[in-house]
Amino acid sequence: MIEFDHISMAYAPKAPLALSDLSFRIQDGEFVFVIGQSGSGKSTLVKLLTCEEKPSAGEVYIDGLALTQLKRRLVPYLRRSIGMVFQDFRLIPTKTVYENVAFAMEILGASRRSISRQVSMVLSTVGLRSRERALPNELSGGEQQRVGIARAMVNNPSILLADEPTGNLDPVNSESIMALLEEINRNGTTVVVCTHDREMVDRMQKRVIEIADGRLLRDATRALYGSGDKYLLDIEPAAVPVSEPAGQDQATAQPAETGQPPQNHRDKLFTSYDYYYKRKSR
Amino acid sequence: MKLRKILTAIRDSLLNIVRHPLLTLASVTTVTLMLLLMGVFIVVSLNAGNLVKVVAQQPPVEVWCDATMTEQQQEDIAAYLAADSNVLSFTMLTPEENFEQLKQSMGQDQSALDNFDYAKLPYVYQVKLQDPDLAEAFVAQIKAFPGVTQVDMAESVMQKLTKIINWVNAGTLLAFIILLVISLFIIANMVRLSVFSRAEEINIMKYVGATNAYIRWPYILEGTLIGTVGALLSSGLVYGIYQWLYQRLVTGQSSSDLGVLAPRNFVLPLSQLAWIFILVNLGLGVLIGAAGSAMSVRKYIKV
Repeated sequence: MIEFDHISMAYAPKAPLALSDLSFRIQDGEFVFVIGQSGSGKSTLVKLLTCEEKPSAGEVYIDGLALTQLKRRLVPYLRRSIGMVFQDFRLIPTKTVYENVAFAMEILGASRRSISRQVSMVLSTVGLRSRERALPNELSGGEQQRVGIARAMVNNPSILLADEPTGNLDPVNSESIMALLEEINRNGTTVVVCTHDREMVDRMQKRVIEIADGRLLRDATRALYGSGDKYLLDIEPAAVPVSEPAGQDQATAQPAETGQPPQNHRDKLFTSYDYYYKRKSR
Repeated sequence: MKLRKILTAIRDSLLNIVRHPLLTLASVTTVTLMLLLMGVFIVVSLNAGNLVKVVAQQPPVEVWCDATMTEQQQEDIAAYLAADSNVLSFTMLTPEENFEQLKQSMGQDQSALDNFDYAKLPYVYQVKLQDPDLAEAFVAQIKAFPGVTQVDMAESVMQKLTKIINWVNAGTLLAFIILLVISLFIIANMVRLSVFSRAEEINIMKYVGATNAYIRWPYILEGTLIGTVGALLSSGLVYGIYQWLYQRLVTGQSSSDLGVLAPRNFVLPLSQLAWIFILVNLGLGVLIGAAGSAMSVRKYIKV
C-alpha cells in the first residue's frame, strides 16, 4: 500500500510549495491515474516515491515503510520493489533489448540461468521475444516503451510507477501500452500512471487523483479526465478512497486502519537489508 | 559482494574500455605522460642526491696526531676508523709523507725546507665520511683518542652540503606532491568525460535499484587498469631513456677532466634505481586511476 500522509514539499527552503498537504492512499493491486497540468506536482510525487527527494513535511509510506526514515544505503533496495516506466523510455542505446532488460536483474546478482528464463518470459509478455537482439534505435517508440515496461517488470515489483508512459507515443501505440499496463495490474501489481493523456484516462475509467498547484483537487474512482463535476462518474472524498484491490483481502490491510504500522514490524524493515529480497520471494 | 557481481564488474570495466577506445587511449596517454614526468623526476632527484653525497665525501676530515704517538695508539685509531660504519675510507700520512707534500706545495721555494726536521710534523689521518650530517659526532669521538691533537674539518662546506641535501629532499617531496595532484585531476577529468557520456546509463541503473558500489566498481577497475597500463608504459620509457643516457655518459666516456663531477662518479646504475621508479609509477598509476575514477563517479551517482 502507498500512503501519502499530509505531504508538503518545497525544493528549497523559501521556494513555493511543489506539493501542499497532500494525503491519499493507494491499496495493493489498484490502478490509479495521477493527473494534473505540467508543474502541478506529478513528477514531485514520483520523486518522493522513489526517494529521489524527501518531503518537507509529512510522511510517505510504502507497505508501512516510512520513506523519510529510510537510510540512504537502503534506497536501492526500495527501488527494486518499484518498477519505473519513463516518458522517454530511458533505454541504454548500446545494449540490445535483451541486455536492457537483463541488466536490471544483473544488478541484483541473479544467476545467468534465471536471468535468461525471466527475461525471455517478460519479453514474451510484452510481445518482443523476436526482437531481443535488436538495439533500441531499431525499434519503434511503442516497442521501446514495451522494453521499458519489460525492464520495470522483470524483477516482479509490487508497484509499477509510470511517468507519462504514452507521452511520446501515437494513439494506437498508447492504447497497446495501456492494455499492457492493465494486464500487469490484473496480475496483482499496483499500477500508478502519471499522465495528462485525456483520452486515455476517459477511456480507461479508473481511479483518478487530480493534483493542481500541489494540492489534491479530487480523488475519484472510475473517473474521467475533465475538470468540473459534469465529467465525474462518481466522487469520493479524499480521506476515504474507494479502492479496487485485485484479490486483496481488506482485513489484511491493517496499517490502513491506524495509519501507522506496528512499531516492531517497521523496525524490522529498517534493520534488514534483506527485506526487499524476502518480500520479492514471498 | 558476490562472486557473480565481481565478475560482472570486471566484465563491465573491460566493456567500457573496449566501447570507448578513443577515451581509453587519451586516458592511457595522459597517465603515461604524467608518470613519465614523474619517473624522470624521480631519476633526476635520486642522481642529484647521489651527486651531493659524493661531493660531500670529498673534503676529508683530517685528524692530526702527535708526532710522538706510539704504534699502539696508531693501531687503536686505525682500528676505530675501520670499525666505524660512517667512515667510507681513510688513509694515514706519516710525517715523512706530509713533508713531501709540503715541499711539493712550495714549488720553487722548496729549498727553504732543506734543513727542516720533518719528524716534528704530525701524523695525519685523512678520513672520508659517508654522511656529512654525522661529522660532528665523529669529530667528538675521534678527539677522545690519546695522541690526537687536532681535527680539521671543512665545517662550513659540510654544513652547506647538509643544507643542499635537505633542500634537494624537500624539493623532491614538493614537486612529487604537485605532480601527484596534477595527475589526479587530469585523470579525474578524463574519467569524468567517460562517466558523463554514460550519465544517462548510471541514472537508469539508479532507478532500477543498483547500489552505489555496483555502479562505482567497474569505473574504479577501469581507472586502475588504465593507471597500470600507463605506469608500465612510462616505466618502460624511463628505463629505455635512462639506459641510453647512461651508456652515452658513463660507459662511453674514456677520460674526464671533470674530477668528482664526472658522470661516472655519481650517476647511479640502472639496476640501483629501476625498481624504485617502477614501483613508484605502478603505485601512483593504480592510485590516481582508482581515486580519479571514484572522484568522478561520485557526482553522477547521486540520484
